[in-house]
Amino acid sequence: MTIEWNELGWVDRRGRLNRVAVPADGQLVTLNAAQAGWASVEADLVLRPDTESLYMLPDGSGALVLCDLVTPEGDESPWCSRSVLRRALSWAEQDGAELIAAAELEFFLVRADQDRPVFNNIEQYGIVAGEPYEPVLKAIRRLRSSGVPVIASNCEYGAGQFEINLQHGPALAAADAVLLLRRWAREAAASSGLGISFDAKPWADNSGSGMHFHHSRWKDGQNCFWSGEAEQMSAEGDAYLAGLLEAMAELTVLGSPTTRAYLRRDDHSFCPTKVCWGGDNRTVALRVTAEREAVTRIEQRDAASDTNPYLSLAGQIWAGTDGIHRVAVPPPITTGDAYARDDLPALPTSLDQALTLFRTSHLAAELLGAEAQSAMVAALEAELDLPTGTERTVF
Amino acid sequence: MTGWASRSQPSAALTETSLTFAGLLREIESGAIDTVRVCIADHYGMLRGRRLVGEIFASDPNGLQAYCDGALVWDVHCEIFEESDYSNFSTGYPDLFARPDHASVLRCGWSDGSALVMTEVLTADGERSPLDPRGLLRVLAERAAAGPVSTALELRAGQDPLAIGWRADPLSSFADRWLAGLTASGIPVESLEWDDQRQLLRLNLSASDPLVAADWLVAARSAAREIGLTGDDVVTAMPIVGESDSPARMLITPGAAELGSDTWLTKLGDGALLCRPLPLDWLRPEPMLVGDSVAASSQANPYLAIAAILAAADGSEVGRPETLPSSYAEATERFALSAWTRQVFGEMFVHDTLALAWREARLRSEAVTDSAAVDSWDINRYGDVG
Repeated sequence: MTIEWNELGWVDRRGRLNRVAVPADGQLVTLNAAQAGWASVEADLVLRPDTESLYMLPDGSGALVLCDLVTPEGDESPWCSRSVLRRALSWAEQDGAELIAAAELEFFLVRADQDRPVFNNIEQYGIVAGEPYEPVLKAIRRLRSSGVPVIASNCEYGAGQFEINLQHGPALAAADAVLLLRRWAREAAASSGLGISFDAKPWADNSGSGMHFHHSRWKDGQNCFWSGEAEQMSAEGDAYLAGLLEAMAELTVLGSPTTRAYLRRDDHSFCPTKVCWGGDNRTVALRVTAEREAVTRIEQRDAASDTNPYLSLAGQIWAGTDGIHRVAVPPPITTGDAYARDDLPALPTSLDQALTLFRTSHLAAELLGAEAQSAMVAALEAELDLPTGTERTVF
Repeated sequence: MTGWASRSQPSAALTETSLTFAGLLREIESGAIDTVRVCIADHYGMLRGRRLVGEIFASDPNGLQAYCDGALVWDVHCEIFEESDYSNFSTGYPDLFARPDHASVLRCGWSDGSALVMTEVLTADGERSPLDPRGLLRVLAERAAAGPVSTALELRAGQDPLAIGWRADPLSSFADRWLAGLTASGIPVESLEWDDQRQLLRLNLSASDPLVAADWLVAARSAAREIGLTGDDVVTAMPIVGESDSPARMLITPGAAELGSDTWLTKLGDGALLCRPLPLDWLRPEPMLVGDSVAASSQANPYLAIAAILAAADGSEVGRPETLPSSYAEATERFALSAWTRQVFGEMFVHDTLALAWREARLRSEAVTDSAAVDSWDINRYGDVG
């Protein structure tokens, strides 16, 4: 069956979904780089529908196709986040393997008129506490029928905080799912008279919200990270892990691109503060699950919930793939309380610190291109000038 | 009082609404059920878990749900603390693994399109978690070859039962909605009645296997609070709100075989903390033995309360009947000093139960000026437990 789409969707630098109706006259939709969030850049862009990325609108009014931003000549553009992720994937998958990813996404439901979360106590996994918000959460879970692969929801470890689990799948689709979920979840909340915040740290006295990405690589039906023995990854899995770790600090801004994102980084907050990896340990930055082949994966726990999922995931995949190519070796596993380990390298604690590392990152230059790297620095330096807490990203 | 007259369930309703595991899968396929709650019970018997998309549950109905294992040892507000041996920052708060118990499937008659399944909680090694209340009851009930258990649950519900001096609103529709929800769930209600003297709503459930009886209590209490939160009523399982209140109870009546043991009072005293786990449960204590029933707190964890009662009546050790504790401190001390509690529940469970109890006692003593009275701090801390 052929599905006609009536909306075009595209993502800007901040990871927001933008939507336009398909022009009746069939004309190409064009915009400039500033509209895509690159204020310092002068470039014309054209929306090119990706017919593999077609989603039904939740209200049943039609379908939306996600688009890549390309140059007027039809070439790949450095100002297109989806294209950046495609580039990372083309490197990661050049041997015929497929990068599989899944996101967990935290957010708050908000009493919009009071700018406070909908309940005041921590109610992690709370069934009772979640029930009044089922009209919203159920609408979010029903996004599955739109093509967003939601599998579950639960109350999270913050007052008024919730989490959505998305099913694993091809990495581009995993990022698309985050993009669409954030927008459509906002619409679902609004239908119930509530607000929703994916902000990294909406309130100083409450938890922050993270976006964890799970990574695995599959080839010929086999998980390349599985060693054949429980609790131990393959050499390739270890190399990917090492690459992720080595680049984690310099690519931090891709997962934490706001000043508020660094307010999440408290010891014992379950947001990582140290560059380290572990097994089933919620205090580390990279959590490795390797009980059996089907579930063997690496969970990146650092990114904020309001980041651009394409750029964040692209940076992670690029770093991991770089590790594979270099046959990198990870440091020893961290056991116990990573927050208490002063001997472990620290993750940046401010956007300023993170930008300092990002400016000179060779990996960032390889992934984004030098021009986009500079433009990203310029955009985030502007963010530095904003008073903390004054602006929240609305998706 | 007309609005709160005793109600009973239409006898034919249950067989029509009871849900089997096969029925659950059919209803997911038909779209009648779109959400499956995959649940554990925390230390206070509060349902915790994820709401899964129905088709996801049906695609792997034996699939393990991974939850942070701190869920079994956090306090009434999900606050974690380092005194727990089972889970703390040094252990890294790893996952526990919740395996659906297909026999526990229940339709959530009070929540449209939703079903509930309780789980067996496993460690990463596939062993039963020593802190899982439901797993403990399963083991102890099997060991005691326990007969059916009858239960009742008392609650306060109305416009604002957490306000000091509150009296029930006889016109509240809560009782009707609660009964309708439980009936639609297939939970067999003997009666739902208003006790005018105690100013409490009492739900009497049919006798059943101990594990099922506890499952029903947890679900019924959760249903009450969910109905309250989604409607106009406030529902609380807090035992008392004002000084003159009769305590809200969870009445547990074990089968006749369990009542014959000589050790009954001795061991019940040692395990009384599990029947009345919070400070307010002891602020205005009524007798623990009421006829053939044990009067636990309405905020007790039903799995742990029933487990404590069955184990106390198991008769594996002969002892002299003693008095029951009369205060939170005494109940905690008895639990701490008893060799029996360690033997029955395990060292780690006892350790962490005590850590939780001592924490509640300390927090309350720091926050409340008159420890013999109900404080607004108590309302904030315990109003939503259960």
